[in-house]
Amino acid sequence: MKNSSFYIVLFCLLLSVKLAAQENLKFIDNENLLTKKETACLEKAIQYEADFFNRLFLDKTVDLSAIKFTVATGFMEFINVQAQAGALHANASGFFSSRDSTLVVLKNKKSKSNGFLSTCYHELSHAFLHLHVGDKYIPAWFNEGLAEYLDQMTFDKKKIVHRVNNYGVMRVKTLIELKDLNLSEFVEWNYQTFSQKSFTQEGYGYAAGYCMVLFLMQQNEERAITIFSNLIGARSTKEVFDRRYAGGFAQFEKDFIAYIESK
Amino acid sequence: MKRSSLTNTQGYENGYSFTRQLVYLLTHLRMKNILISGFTIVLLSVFQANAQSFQDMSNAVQLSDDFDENQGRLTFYADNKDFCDYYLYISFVYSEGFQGMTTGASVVVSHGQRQIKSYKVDEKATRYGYNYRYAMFRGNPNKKPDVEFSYSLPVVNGETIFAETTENQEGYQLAFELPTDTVYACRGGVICDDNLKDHTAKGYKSFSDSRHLSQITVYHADGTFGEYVFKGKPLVYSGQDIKIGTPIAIVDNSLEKYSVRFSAYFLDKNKVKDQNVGNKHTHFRPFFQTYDEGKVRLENGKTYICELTDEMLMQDMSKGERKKFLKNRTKETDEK
Repeated sequence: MKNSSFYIVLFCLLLSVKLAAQENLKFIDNENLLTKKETACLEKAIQYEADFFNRLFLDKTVDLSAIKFTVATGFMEFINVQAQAGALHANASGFFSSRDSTLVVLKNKKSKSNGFLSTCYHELSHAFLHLHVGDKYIPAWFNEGLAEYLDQMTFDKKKIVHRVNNYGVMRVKTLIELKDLNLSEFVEWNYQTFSQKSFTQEGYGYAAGYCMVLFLMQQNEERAITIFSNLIGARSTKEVFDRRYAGGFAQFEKDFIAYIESK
Repeated sequence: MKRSSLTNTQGYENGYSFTRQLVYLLTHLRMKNILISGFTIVLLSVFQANAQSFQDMSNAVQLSDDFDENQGRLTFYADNKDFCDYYLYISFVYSEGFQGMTTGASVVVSHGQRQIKSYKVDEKATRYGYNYRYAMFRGNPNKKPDVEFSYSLPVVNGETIFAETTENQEGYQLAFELPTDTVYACRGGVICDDNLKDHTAKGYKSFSDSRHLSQITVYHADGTFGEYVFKGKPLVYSGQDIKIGTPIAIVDNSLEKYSVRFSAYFLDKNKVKDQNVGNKHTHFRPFFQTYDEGKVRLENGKTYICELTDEMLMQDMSKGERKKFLKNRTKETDEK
């Protein structure tokens, strides 16, 4: 089968240098798989996320050219690439492989432009996080929750705005009403549990992780950034919250539930 | 990894659109006006006939409207052919000449035909018109699921069953491996008609017919549904009232085992509010009563022993029914 996917390599003007906010990143799209709008949005998203992660990791130097970006134009190609990366999942529309720092996104006739871009932003978050932390442990809820948060950014207008994922918020609201949300257990899920429960329970983990990040960012962005950077390498989310959130994890749970119930 | 979106944005696209242009004949109209009005009425009748043929007869709820010229009143009727509640939302795309006909109206309709909404003509109006769409979703968003309800495993009291959680786009679903060919109701309620559909296709045979599967959906008292999918023959019929533990199906022996898939779900008021969400139902994880582990939410890949107690049997009973049940139980014990 002919492989019609291709690689877009992130092109940095200055390699292996900490990215300053005013630098511009460009895409090379030799096969014109992206529209002009998509290319423009992606370039803005990369810049935004680069700046965001620089706030989390103040003294870190990263080489963005290490990230490879693949667009799969057919579903079977996408599945094959997934299988080769050991990340096979039929319901996924994109994935990031930390083995070779490749992010792969499906773009076929069924993909809507918004959905495709959203997936790109999501996988970029995984790529950036991996680039900054390497092999350090990242709690599953935070890794996916942050990616879900960043994939809701909009870059096609003059202002960069986070568009609240109402479906995710309502999902968590329903879980609370069903008394089926146990945050203490949830934050300790490993990646296998996170995946298994999310794909059997209507995106449980993604919705809950997203809402936690959303709540923290809306409540106090600076404190959120501090908590996020402390989560890297930490084995216990609850310990981080006990140290960094006024009143500890127990208070966070109460505040979070009250926030969601008010929606 | 980014999962594919489980929602669609076609919330109301499958609704129906009707336009009515009515002309109110005043008795003192001149002949020319009467002829014009008559022509319009003929057009209306043709359009009305065509409009009615647009309605899909496999829809669970058929909506109709009637204009009483003498009374100057427009009335909407809903005919719910299913045995569970349906949430109906009528959206007026255009309206003129009627009092109180705002952007939309919502109502929950139970089984049968009933009048749902009525509008009086505005006395000052000389022409009237309306254009509406409607959407219907199986269930009742005003009812609150009883999350503490103890479900029974779909086998006889004391029997062992193997359970797995399956990956399902719609949400939580259990795959049971039964010790015998009979499926027993996990909870009592009324059997729905799964040959009918709503605008989320819930209940309709959304599973693959090519695998010759059967489906039974039970509507519970708290507005939740229990859905059983299996290869075999139902023992119950649409409209039948059943109790928890009632035998409801005989399953075929497929690959040397008897299997049934079970889901519990409800019409989620948090999703009904959002027009961008296509899937209006939410699956949930019910508690099952087990002999060995008590009241639990089932885990993937485990074996459980069914326990069906009198307290469980009485959960959905009224006070009077409970009193009668206990009286009979005492009588049975005395006779023994």
